[in-house]
Amino acid sequence: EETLRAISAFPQSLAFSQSFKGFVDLVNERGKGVIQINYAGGPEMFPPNQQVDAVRRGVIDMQYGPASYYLGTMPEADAWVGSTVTATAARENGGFAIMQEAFSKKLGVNLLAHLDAGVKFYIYTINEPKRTDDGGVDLDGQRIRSQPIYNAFFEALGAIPVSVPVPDVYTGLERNTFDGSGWPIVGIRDLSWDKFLRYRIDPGFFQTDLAVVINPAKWEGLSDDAKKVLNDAAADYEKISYDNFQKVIEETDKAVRDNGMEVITLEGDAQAKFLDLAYDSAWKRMKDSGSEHYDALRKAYYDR
Amino acid sequence: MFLLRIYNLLILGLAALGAASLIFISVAIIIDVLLRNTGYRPFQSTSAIVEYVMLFSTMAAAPWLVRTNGHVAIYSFVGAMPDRARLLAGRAVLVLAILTLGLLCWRSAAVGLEMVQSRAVDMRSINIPSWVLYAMLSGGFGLMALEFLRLLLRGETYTGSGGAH
Amino acid sequence: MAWYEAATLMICGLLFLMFFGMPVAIAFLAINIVGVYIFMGGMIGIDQLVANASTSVTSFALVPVPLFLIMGELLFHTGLAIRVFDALDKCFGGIKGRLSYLTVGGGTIFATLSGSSMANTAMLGTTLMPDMIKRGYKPHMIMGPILATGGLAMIIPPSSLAVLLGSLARIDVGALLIAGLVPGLVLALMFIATIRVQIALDPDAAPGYAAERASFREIARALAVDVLPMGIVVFAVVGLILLGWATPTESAAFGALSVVALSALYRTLSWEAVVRSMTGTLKVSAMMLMIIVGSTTFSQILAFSGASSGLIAFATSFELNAYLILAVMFLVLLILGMFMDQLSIMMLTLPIFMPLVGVYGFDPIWFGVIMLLALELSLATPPFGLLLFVMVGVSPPGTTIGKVAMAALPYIVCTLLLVVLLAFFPQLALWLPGLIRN
Ligand code: NA
Ligand code: NA
Repeated sequence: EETLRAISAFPQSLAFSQSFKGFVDLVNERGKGVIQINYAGGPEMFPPNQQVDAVRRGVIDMQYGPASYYLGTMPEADAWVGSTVTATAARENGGFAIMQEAFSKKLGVNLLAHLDAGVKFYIYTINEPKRTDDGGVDLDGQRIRSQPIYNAFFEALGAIPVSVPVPDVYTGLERNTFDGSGWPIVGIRDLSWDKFLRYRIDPGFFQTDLAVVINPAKWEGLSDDAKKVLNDAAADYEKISYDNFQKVIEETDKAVRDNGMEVITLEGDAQAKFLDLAYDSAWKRMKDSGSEHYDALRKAYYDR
Repeated sequence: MFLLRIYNLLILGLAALGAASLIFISVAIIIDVLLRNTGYRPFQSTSAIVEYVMLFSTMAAAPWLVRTNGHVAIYSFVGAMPDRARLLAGRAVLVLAILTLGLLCWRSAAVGLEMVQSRAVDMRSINIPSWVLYAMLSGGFGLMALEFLRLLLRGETYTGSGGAH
Repeated sequence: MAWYEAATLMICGLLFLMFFGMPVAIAFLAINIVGVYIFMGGMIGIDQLVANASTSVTSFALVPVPLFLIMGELLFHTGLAIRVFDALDKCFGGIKGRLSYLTVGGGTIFATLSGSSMANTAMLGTTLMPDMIKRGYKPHMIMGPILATGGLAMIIPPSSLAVLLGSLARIDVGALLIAGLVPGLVLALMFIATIRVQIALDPDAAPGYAAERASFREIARALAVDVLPMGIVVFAVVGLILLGWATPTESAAFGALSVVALSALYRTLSWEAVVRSMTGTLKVSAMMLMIIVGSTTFSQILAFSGASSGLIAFATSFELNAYLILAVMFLVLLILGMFMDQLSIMMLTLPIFMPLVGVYGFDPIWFGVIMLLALELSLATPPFGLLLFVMVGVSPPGTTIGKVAMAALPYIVCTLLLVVLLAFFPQLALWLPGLIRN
């Protein structure tokens, strides 16, 4: 029996890490006597943006975390950020295989799975956003707390992306230091930000880019049985975790609405324009980086 | 001797630069906040630069701190030893410090070169090549090792008694 | 390697190097190399150590450390601090140990401004220490109160640690922040009582001179000219947060700016004062951040080796009643706090503690406050208490860690007492959040 030691980019108590634990449990159940995963820890062992390097070096066997943390080194991560298809669909249409090649070439690790996909990002605001004549939102000059993956999108909207460390965000929202924030739909309540962010702009954009990677030498050393258990579990859990998060999304959406959060829904042309700006910002970033996989990835991952 | 003078200037100059960089980030943050609150667009680069300066000022000042006994050390135990034992302990500490910092200087440089080859980029509020951080680490560790070596060659030991005032 | 073997190797190795006079920061790095070589498998471990080190201080959350230091050094070197002390001497001439009380009072005010204990302690230390020594205060009457009130910054809101704890433990962040207010103030009162007792026990601890009681006119003038303008400094920090102009991190820069402006108004801003202030800032800030480079990576290796999780699993494996399990959890936090940084401790313990909190039916907010107090203590407990090193760094030559730790001891006891109080009277923490919720 082989044992792999795994870490996650998020602390173990958070929702995404719990979902990864579900994957670990699945492998451990199916892999009795063949392969086991020991989920050892999170950022208390390795800083999140150094974890994939730790897997490449072989300090740890397996890691789970956002691919976009390595966007600077592997521009192809934007294919997941800007994707509109499910992980399962991309596994079937060949997109996943291209991503495996990119992970291997640029980051030096084997890509095993794209878990927890289908969770979108949203713009939340403290005050009701102004509307444009064509039914869109006018965020011109609004200061929105941002992260590198959506800086370009916010700028395209005319908003001012503000970079604020997470611990400062609560006080910042309380005191109106900025006007809103981007955040995935799940997790907005974990930080109590929903107390101040009373408006959500729908639709959501982008999607989660959480990868499970494994050290290449370790992978080569595994038995064929072990590899099969891992690959099958990866493909199955991509589906399972997608479905799980659809439920979580539904519950969160209901909870925040019950709590009085107002949802501003963009329709028709305004919606199309909004989403174009979002997705174009991600795909343009990959194109500008000169990735050789741009066309193939766009074909596989983008069907808007 | 000329080289030594240059070297001494380097240690002091880096420390001065480290202090100046702290003033710089204060001003940068003030400008950033003012721009944000007056409807202008703040610089995207500010937060990334501020974060980098935190390491830069530390690594730039660390060798000078060795020279001025500014790194805190626990001296009470060693201070109670007889003279010969104290000297021996002091030398051993210097040698160990040189080895530790020398090794870290070498490996930081090696990892930095790896980053140059793989064109790795550190993505913060702006993109910065990953090797920059490792260059700072390597330089800081290396110069600290040299400063400890200087103490060893001069027959001195490190006391860590350079209080701030 | 069993968890206790790994722990023994890392911790005893570190203590050994530190006691032989190796600079604390270098001792961490040296033992880290040994640790990664064994646990991470040779040279690749050292490369990983370097990689981890590259992110240890490149964090916006640490920015208040140098910025508050600039503020404190400028207050001292431009003579603004001394003006305030002289003015207060005029008002409270008769009260023995007034500057110790002032430390607690001023420190508590700054705790409501700042979310970072390290920054707060360093700032108080650089501002108050030199003048108080000149005035004949015994060092423990200076260092104790500074260490103690420095730690208040993360109990009294705003507190970046409370926000992190709330989000990691899924405790309502707003309620947790508010819950810290009353215990924080109670703690400040206990500190004041401690000073009073210390002076009663040792009347020579604080200077005995009775400054002449000034006339009312003089007092009014001194307050208006020397103390009131300090309001600008307070406003620059807290006012900008309240107005929503700046985040707690950013406002530290405005604190420094306001001291520059104020000293320019008083015509005490000289080139020499600036150079001295920046020299002092750089010394303390680089010393601290260098230790953080070493200690953050030390925490990470301790976690990776399984030493920390082994201890937690071992300690919580017993069947205990509610009070005992609380005591065990607190003890685990204290022990980990001696060697690890706060964020790592939270990430390690919360996955195990929060289910226990659920099983035993503890109120999560109340538990959060107790946990904050334990984490606050970790900064002041030897052998590795960052605030202890900060105090040594800002103190006159010859100050030892042992002396600083002894000075902190009575105040550590206060915090322990408060934890016991909280265990029996949870309302101390829960009353205010309950009031606001309803
Ligand atoms: Na505070
Ligand atoms: Na400690």
